[in-house]
Amino acid sequence: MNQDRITIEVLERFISLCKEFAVGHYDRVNELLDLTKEKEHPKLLSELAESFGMMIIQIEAREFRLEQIIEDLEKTKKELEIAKQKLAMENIELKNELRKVRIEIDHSQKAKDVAEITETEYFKYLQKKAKDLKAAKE
Amino acid sequence: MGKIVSIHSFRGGTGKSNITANLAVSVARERNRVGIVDTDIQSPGIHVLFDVDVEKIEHPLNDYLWGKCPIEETALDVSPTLLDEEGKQAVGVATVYLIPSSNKTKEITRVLREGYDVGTLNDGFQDLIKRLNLDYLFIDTHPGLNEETLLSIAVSDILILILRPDKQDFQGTAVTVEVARKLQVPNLFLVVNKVLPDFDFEDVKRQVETTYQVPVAALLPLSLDMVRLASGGIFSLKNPGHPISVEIGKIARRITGR
Repeated sequence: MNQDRITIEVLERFISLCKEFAVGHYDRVNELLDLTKEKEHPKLLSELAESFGMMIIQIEAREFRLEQIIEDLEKTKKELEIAKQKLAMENIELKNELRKVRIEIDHSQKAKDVAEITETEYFKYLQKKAKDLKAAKE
Repeated sequence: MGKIVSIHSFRGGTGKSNITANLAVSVARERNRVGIVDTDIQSPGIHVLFDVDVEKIEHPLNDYLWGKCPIEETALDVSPTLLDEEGKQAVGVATVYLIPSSNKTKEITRVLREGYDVGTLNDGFQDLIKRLNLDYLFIDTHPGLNEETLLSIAVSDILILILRPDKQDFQGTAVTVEVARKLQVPNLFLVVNKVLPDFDFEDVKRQVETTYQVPVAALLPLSLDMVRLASGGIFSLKNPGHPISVEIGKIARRITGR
């Protein structure tokens, strides 16, 4: 009877510890580890405490890793925001600074000027000369 | 067989002589024997860049054209005057010859009045290459499209057209490109000079290449440094790291194919 009462007390302590762990408070994890001592508690109870202890350690490690990943992501996000702002500024500067060139050719005038040069006897002589020179080189 | 490289622009003031001189020296520095003919008989000027004392020119190109001397006697070896920024000989074992035109008014007016046989000029080019054993002969042409300029274009292996990004040059270059195509010049490049720094250089290059369907070998920014030096020597030798010198080097490599 006395033993049962002790077991119930231990189980109640166990339940209260689990409630704390469930909300992310791991300060009393040492109390859980005390329950693993086989000499003081029934074997089944100490095994149960051991499994829970292992579970808490794994959860804590996973949470720690996730926190680190979030921290890295936040840092990268901030850097991206700064780069984005810088790029926007540079684009504004480029738009203001760089002039574009406009090339307009008067094609009918060009055709007239070209014809004036190329429809002469001299030009025809040159075309032949150029052809002969190229042939001689080849 | 040496190659003829003509440097031409539709209008004056494009920096043609300056670019010709810098390019010729740049090509010579790659161990090439190089000649430069000033065929801008009406307004010669390239000799100034090579520090040539006009009083000491024994035979200008004009003498050859009048049959007074063979072409090779008009060639001056200007290599010893070419010094790098440390004052050392810049072209080393290579040679740069300059064939200057007379700057004497009497000689210039005689050419304008009497003219000369442009065929003689062509023979002169071919003989220069052979007799001086040249790898490259650069021809500094007179702006526009007169007879000797058309001849220089016709006999060129490489033609470099220089233009500024302005309306008149755009139109004139369109005419010149068309004429050069009809003369079947094997290699044609454009160089855009005096580009204001606030222009979008990539955009200028793209638009020029699209308009003329000719590759742009370089875009040279309008540079105060270059203007300051103006006629006082070969800019790229005195300022080897300058963006303009770097671009000149790029054009030189287009010429030599390296």
